[in-house]
Amino acid sequence: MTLADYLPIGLMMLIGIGFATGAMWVSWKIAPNVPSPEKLAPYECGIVPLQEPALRFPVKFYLVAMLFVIFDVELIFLFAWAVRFEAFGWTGIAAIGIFVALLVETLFYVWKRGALDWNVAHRDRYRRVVAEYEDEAA
Amino acid sequence: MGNIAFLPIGLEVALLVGAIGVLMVAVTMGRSSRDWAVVAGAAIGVGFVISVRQWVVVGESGTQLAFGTKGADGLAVANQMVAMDKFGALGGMILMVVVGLALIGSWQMVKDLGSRGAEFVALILLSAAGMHMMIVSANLIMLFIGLETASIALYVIAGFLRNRRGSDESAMKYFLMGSFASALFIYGVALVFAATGSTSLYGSTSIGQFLAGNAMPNPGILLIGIGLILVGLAFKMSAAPFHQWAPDVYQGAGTGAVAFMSTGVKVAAVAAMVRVLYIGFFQFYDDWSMAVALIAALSILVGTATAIAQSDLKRMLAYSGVAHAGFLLIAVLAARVSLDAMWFYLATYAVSLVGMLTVVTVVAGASAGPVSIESFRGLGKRSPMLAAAIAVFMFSMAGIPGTSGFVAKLVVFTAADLSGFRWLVVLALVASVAGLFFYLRIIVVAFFEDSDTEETPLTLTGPRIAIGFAVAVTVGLGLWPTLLLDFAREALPHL
Amino acid sequence: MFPVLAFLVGLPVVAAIVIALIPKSRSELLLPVAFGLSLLPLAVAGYMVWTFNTAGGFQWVESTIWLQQLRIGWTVGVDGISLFLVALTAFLFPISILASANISDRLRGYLVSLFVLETGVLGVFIALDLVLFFVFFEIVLIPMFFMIGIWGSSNRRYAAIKFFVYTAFGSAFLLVSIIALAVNAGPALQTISFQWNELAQVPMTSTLQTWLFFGFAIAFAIKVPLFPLHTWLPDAHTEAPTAGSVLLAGVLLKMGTYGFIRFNLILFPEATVKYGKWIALLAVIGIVYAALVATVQPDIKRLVAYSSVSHLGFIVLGIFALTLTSVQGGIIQMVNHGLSTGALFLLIGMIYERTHTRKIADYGGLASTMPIFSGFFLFAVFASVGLPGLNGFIGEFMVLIGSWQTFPVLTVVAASGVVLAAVYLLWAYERVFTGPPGKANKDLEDLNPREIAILVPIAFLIVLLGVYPKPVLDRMENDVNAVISRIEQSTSYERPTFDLEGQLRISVPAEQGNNSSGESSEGSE
Repeated sequence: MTLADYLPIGLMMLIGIGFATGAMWVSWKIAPNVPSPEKLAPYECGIVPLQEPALRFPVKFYLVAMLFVIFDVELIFLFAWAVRFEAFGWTGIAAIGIFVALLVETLFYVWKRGALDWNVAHRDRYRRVVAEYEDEAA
Repeated sequence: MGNIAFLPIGLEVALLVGAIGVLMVAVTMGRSSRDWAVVAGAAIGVGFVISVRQWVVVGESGTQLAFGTKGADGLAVANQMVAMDKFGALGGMILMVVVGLALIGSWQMVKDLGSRGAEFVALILLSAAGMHMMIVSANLIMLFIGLETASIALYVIAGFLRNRRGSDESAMKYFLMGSFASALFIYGVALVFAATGSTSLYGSTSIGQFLAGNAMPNPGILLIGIGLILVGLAFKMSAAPFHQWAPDVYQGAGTGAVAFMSTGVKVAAVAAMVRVLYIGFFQFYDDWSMAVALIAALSILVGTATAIAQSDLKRMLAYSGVAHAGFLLIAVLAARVSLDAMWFYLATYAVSLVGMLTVVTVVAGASAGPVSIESFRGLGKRSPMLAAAIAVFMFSMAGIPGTSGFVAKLVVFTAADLSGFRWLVVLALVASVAGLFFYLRIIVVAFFEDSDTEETPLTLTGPRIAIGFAVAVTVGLGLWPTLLLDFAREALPHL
Repeated sequence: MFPVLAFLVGLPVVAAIVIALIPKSRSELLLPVAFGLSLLPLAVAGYMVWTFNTAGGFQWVESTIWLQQLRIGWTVGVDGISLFLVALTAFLFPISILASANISDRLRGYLVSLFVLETGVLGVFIALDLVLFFVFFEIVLIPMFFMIGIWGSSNRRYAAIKFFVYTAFGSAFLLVSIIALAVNAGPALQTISFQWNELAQVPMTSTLQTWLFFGFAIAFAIKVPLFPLHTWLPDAHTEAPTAGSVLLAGVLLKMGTYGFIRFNLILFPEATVKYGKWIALLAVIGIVYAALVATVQPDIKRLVAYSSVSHLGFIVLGIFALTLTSVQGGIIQMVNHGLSTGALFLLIGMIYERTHTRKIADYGGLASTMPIFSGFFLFAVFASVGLPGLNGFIGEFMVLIGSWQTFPVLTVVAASGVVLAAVYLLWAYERVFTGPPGKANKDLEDLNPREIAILVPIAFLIVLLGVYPKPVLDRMENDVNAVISRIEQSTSYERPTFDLEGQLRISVPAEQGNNSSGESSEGSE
């Protein structure tokens, strides 16, 4: 390897960086910039915004969504295995069993920790967990 | 497939079962951290025993590869995923010792965390499993999976004290930059695959075989791939210029967590780097050795220069860790002549650092974030034993004779000089003198200054064991280095 | 064969452990036990001096490989060059312990530091393995660092760090050079080896020799210290506790000059001949410069510290003059300086305990209030100045005579250092001891028996070496001769011989005989 061999790489990088910065610079330079209050307002399909745009969801939505994604992905693997399960034999059953067991274990843990309780404010377990976090914060 | 030998991944299985066990015990039977300690300790102990068993089996019947797929002919097994060799076995033993020490030393933090402590312990075990996977992986994809397993757990560990300001910020920083580095790493793997048609380190279709059989007149893509893989691993071991996350994370995460995350990941990244570079890309030694040497030089300079200016102990240790990453990269270069030097440096530095951070947990609290150097004021009077331990660790990191740090530097630098990197040795030694400024500063604060309080830090049994063990190893291997060196000389990777 | 040297170095280690194990409730035992234990290495050293074979060469050699693949090991031996440095070390430690009776804060740690220090220094002088040498060379820093930092005076933190970092900076170059030396010799020896005697056999290119020569020289020059690298020394000496100053001046500085002989002269003869004159030049600049600076010091301890720099300059000049007389003079001057400057630091420590000031201006008229003290002080001053009949004369005279043949101009300049020494020391004596005693100094107690007991052995040796140095010179002669012959064999250097009117040629051993007999006759006056 001589230094000259790296030349194409260097050129490539230079062109890439040059193109990106150049394009930004040109558009910044030639674009007309006439701001007005209407233009600066957030885009809401032409309607004047009446409240803060972001709604706050309870955190349990995210938890459930995450669990959903995990089991959704599990399905993909299960499907692939199910198509050829005869070919894999008992070893395949054991392997997929371990895989499912891991996920079931996760579900079990999450359940026990109270993540699946929907109406949480009334549950003992929820109060206990909250109290623990408050202790920890204090 | 049929008869699967589980020994090659036995350590990972043990840690995984341990992690699940800790979680299950926490939600069903016991809410006391003592119960988790038993499970975690058993997992680590079994992991260590399995590593020893691997060492013995490899010694009797040679190295072996495992978890491949059947080739097109249905008979030959290709694309092996895991290598069982003494390299991985020794890495496993070192990791288990480090994880065990870190957990024993920082158990107070687990107690402080309440019921979330179980998750903390489980994450540490999972992360350790990922780290060991990095060391034993025989395929770049497998290496990536190990890297991610280790990293994702570490991101969570870094932000575990989420009620404290700074902890979440540093975890976020770590997560974003870490993901970026992982992306670079996998991009590098992709480029290597593009250039050689393989991600495997061993076997008939390996990268090395391809390179041996095909002259590459224009290896540009391959070199960029190697470079990106290097960047990904250098990020994990916090080598400059990929080190910016380290000080914030060290400071933000609880001290108990830092002990593990600062050492384990270094062990894994360095060992993985040696295997990938030497097994995968040995034909391009001249190219990558120069890159590694430059990263090493930069790490040593940046780490040393920045550490001098720190007033926070954990930031100081983070920057000193950057400098040590540089020394470790020299060890990677020196591994060409002497692999035992690399292992020695890795093991002794990891143990000294865990010991030092355990002292920090004792003095400043296991869940403390920023720890001012001032909190060590007058420790020589308040608690002479702790102060003496600090002196041992600091002298070891500075490379003063009588400690393992000196022998480590001696063997590594001799090997590096033999490999033709004399300029790097000179630079490293001069920088290590500059490093004395901050190592000595802690000793000066601890011994030469009087404190306002008479308060003696409470040393519990756990930290006492961890510190005692670390001191014994640091001094013992400083005086009888052959104990480890002779052992490590056999710890070669599968070829 | 009984491992005498392992025993010698092991004794202080055992002593340190014993001291560390004495229970807190019996802390009154610390000092007596420590003193008793420190006598054991002295006994061994005395035995070694007594039984040393004057034929020279390394004696009591032990060799055990510790790290096979790098051939690092416990290779030790004592020859005529190191014998008296070992003896001096063993002699000064019991004295230092006696002089530490006033230490009350953390006495146990202090004594442990002292014994670790003794281990290190003894190891430096006997090591014949470069890594072993380096280990001891560095280990010495740790106890000294703590001694200055914990038990020193007001500005101790600064002095301790400066001392440590300065010396470690030199050591970094030493370690690089040692590694490079071993790697260079690798092909010739078929293995990496750090054994001194094996490395000395392997030839090297003159470029490498030059680099390594300076790599070693920087480390030793800082330790000695030579002129531009000496700035750590006044701070360290001034801030250290009495015993620390005594040991710093007495033995630690000699590690540098010893290193010059053992390593620079033997391993790099070509570079020594080529660049020795520049080192000698630095030494001479140091002699004059330090003497001038010493003259204007207001602090008595700092004055003695600078006088050390000046005196060490003579030793280095003698070493690089490469004649039998000058090198022998250098070695014996190492011992002499350890005794006389050690005595001065001890005396200053004693007066400091009484007055808690080191300012010369605060003293005056001590001769009338403390006659015994001023008597000892004057004696030490005379020894340091080089009064004939006392030991300092022998060393300086031999160095000047020997160096004259190699570096005539430098020697003339260096000789002015003798005069300047008389100026600053006697002037200091005058300001401290003569005149009417000031108010603060009227009620000072004179030396107590313990303090006299400390000083008498030193004074005895000062006179003994001044009057009858022949046993010392005999024991080192063959080994020094071998060093110079080695340089003559491997380079074009030839040692100068006396050339009187182009006729009378006296060979060097004869000149040696002249010297020693001359001095003993003068001593008997």
